[in-house]
Amino acid sequence: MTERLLEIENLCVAFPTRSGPVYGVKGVTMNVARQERLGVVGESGSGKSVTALAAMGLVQSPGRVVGGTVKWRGRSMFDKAEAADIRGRDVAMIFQDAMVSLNPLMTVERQIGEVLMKRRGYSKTHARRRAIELLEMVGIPFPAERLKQMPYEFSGGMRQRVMIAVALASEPELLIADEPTTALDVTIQAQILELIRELSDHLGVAVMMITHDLGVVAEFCDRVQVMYGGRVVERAPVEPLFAAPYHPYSAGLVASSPRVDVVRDRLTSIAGDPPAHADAVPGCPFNPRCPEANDRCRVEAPPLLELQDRRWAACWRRAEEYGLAERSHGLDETAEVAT
Amino acid sequence: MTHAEAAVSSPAADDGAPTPSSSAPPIMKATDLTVEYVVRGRKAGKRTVSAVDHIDLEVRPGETLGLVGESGCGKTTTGRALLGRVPLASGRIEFDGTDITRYSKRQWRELHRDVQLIFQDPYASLNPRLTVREIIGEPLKLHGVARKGEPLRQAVDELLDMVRLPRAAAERYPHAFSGGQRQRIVIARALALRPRFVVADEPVSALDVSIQAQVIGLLQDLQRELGLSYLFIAHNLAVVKHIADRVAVMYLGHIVELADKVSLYRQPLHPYTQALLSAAPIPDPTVQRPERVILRGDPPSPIAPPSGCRFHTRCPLAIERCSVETPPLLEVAPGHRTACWVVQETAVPLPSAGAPA
Repeated sequence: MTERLLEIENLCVAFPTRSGPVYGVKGVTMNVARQERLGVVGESGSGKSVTALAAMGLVQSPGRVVGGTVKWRGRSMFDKAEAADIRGRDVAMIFQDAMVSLNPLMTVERQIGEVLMKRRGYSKTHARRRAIELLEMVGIPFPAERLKQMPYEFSGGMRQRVMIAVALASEPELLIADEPTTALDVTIQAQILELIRELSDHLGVAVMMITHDLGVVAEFCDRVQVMYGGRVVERAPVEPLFAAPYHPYSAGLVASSPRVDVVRDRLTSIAGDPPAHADAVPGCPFNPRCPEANDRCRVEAPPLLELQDRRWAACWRRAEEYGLAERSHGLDETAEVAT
Repeated sequence: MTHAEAAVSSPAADDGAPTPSSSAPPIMKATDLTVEYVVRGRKAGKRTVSAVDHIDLEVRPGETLGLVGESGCGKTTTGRALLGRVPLASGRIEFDGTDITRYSKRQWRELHRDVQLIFQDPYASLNPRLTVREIIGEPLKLHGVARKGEPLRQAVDELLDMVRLPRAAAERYPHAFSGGQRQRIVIARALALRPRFVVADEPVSALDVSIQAQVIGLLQDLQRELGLSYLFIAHNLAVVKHIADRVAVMYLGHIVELADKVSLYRQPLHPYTQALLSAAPIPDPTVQRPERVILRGDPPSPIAPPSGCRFHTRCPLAIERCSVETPPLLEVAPGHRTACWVVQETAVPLPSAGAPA
């Protein structure tokens, strides 16, 4: 687990608005190790998708990376040529909506074939054979016939499988999956999650699973980063995160997730709404909704601290309990903006 | 649950089903409800699709009936049919004992004081050009409850209080609000006329998890305060578990299982319900689950539904009879109905997680 594939450090992504730049992500640090399954969980606006796109070197204008680094095995993803090379070969991404990544006017054969020929140097006939294998691997019946079809001829679940086949064609080491099951029906969700699990087991592909669903995290991931208001607020191996979440937001999220296996008459909820962007709230981004917030939380944003072995949290109250609050400084907002 | 004597009652004659709280007459009752759509295909020509196929449903006063199914199963159409928004191909709807099946547009408009709809998408269902006061005040004005001036102002303020929004929200436009706040506005508008029956069509599906819980809590509070009855439509069984008293599971236009919440989740009988439960990810890594039932393939197209039991093409338990005859929705345990030949023939409830993988 020590060999790091992807290293994101102090990433800041800003979007210009009429009233000045707004941060989608502010000071995010995370990394993915070989063959690891990392969950990135958060609600809308938490910055999880922006982080994923930045990791691929794909932040769309007018959004701009204004600070930090993203490295793939030491090579910068902010170098356009490097990033293009790495994206096609070593890292692949799948999305919530397969139509976003599939070309609607190209047969499945051409889409997979293109990757195989350009990135892996396959000949045309060899590519066709491999494409059939790939479709078979992702569980598409009659792969030879379906290869000739267009994306719209597939159902939602099957289209998701096609996208996964395209992503795996380049034999990547890391698959970034941005809410890959969110738009699907429950029974199809289970199929696709199972497929990604099997593929990552058999092919040894690391997965960065971006999701809003703690159920997906619990069932799929080894380790998790909880994001809130453009920052990572907690980082932990999956089991302890659920057993004893450190950050009050993580705790609220665990308590408010509906589940089919427990009878509760009322779900616990978190009062208030998530912030619209990273600077919407001074101090800790969660403080207006936090039952434990004190004066310091309302002024200074807490840094992500390792409180125990592999247990990190960005929370002044936890830092106090572990005797780290005194020695730590709040995040220096101005220094980040300057970069 | 002991041995279930398969109480054989015809699915159409479902009056007086011996369930715990069935003493009160239903506030909304649909019998033999069928809704058809006409589909024009390039090759096949004109065809009718029964989106909802001869279903029976009742909602009792003060209860929440959950209606769960995947896309295309007919759950939304069912909800709309109960509100007179789609024409019926057959069947009968009664509201509070009155037959409303053949109500005219004018009669429906009048009835909308009593029956209302909460939409899924709080972004699409609010007019961006109107202030919150205008949005919430609209039904009050249309129905002449409060036309203008102080009475209208006061009524809107009270509705905002009711959904726990600050009164200052009234003068702002929808874009100024988050998804959760918008859904509160949608709820305030739906409840403006003090309806008694509300169809909530996936009211929290578009919201973040922490906000979902707030809105569900609000719906529960309002139900208690105002004595509302809900038909709560959802695409999975997780959210419904926290709000419904009874749950109906739909598959391709049919109700395949209907039971009170506790027995449905504790002992799901229909293989489709078992698959739905088994597919739901559980946010707890320590939960040991029995072997997962992962359904193969996609749901068939409602345009050409399979013969017999519509689930038989994906069912791990299907027997020959399933592809020929449609199983009726029969009571196999007190208050627990299912439409499955295998369950009905054995009449002994299956283990809760259907072992055959």
